[in-house]
Amino acid sequence: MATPENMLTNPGFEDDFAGWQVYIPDPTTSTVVIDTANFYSGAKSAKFIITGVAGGGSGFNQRIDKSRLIEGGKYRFRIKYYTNFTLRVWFYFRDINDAVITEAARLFLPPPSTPGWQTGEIEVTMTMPPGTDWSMFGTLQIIIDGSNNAPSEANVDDLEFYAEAPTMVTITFQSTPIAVTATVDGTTVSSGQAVQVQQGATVTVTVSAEVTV
Amino acid sequence: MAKYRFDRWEDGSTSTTRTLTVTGDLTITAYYVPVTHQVSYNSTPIVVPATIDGQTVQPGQAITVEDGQQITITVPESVEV
Repeated sequence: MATPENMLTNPGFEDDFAGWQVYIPDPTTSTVVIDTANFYSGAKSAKFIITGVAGGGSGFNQRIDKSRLIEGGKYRFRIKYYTNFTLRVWFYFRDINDAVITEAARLFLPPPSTPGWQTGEIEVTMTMPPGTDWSMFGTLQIIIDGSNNAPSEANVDDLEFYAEAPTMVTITFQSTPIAVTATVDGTTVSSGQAVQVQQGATVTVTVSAEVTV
Repeated sequence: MAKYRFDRWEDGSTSTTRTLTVTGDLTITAYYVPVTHQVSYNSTPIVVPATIDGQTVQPGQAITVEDGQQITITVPESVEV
């Protein structure tokens, strides 16, 4: 079975923050750096350093273009983390003008009882909220955010975001008041017959304009 | 044998080819309607009603029948005018 593609660029920070958009609004409250001392694999990880001074957090994010995602598809996000405070991962649907449509998911990564590298993961479904549709969607933004009101640190490494095994759905064709055949993506189906297609797939269904029975 | 023509899909679209993105199980339905013809009746040189399948039809009147439908038309053998 083929290994699913990790859609994230530079997921292990081996190229420092290449591919990531870093935000450090106030270095006196928090910052992010590349750490070569503590990592899960490779030789580097990304490190959050929180000073404990009240203020906003820091972090980094990456966008995944709609062209790489399937409407209704299910995706798995996984992250290795080492922390003494609760890290947060936010997922946002952004529109074609980069405005936030809505939050798609969130993952909180609490500190473990025993220090060490942990794995966090969540399933993210590409389903747009009511009142919106797929045509509005532009990118999925994944934000790893660190903020705390006490001095604290966290490392993250080996992030993954990949498509889960495709879900199959059923299209049932029927005709009334007579039974005719249709073609679904070139396959002939009779009235009442069902075909399986991959969720999110675009299919073409054709029937005859006139039939004699 | 009777002819039917495609009328519409359950979503109201009327093209025989339909493209859709499938995000969950669904049923699609094609609706057909019978192809119909107009049968016009006339008599000459006098006005004589006929019966078509038991229904009285005046000269110049038309009825609608489905394609392939067998109909019986009856006129009187003789009339007095």
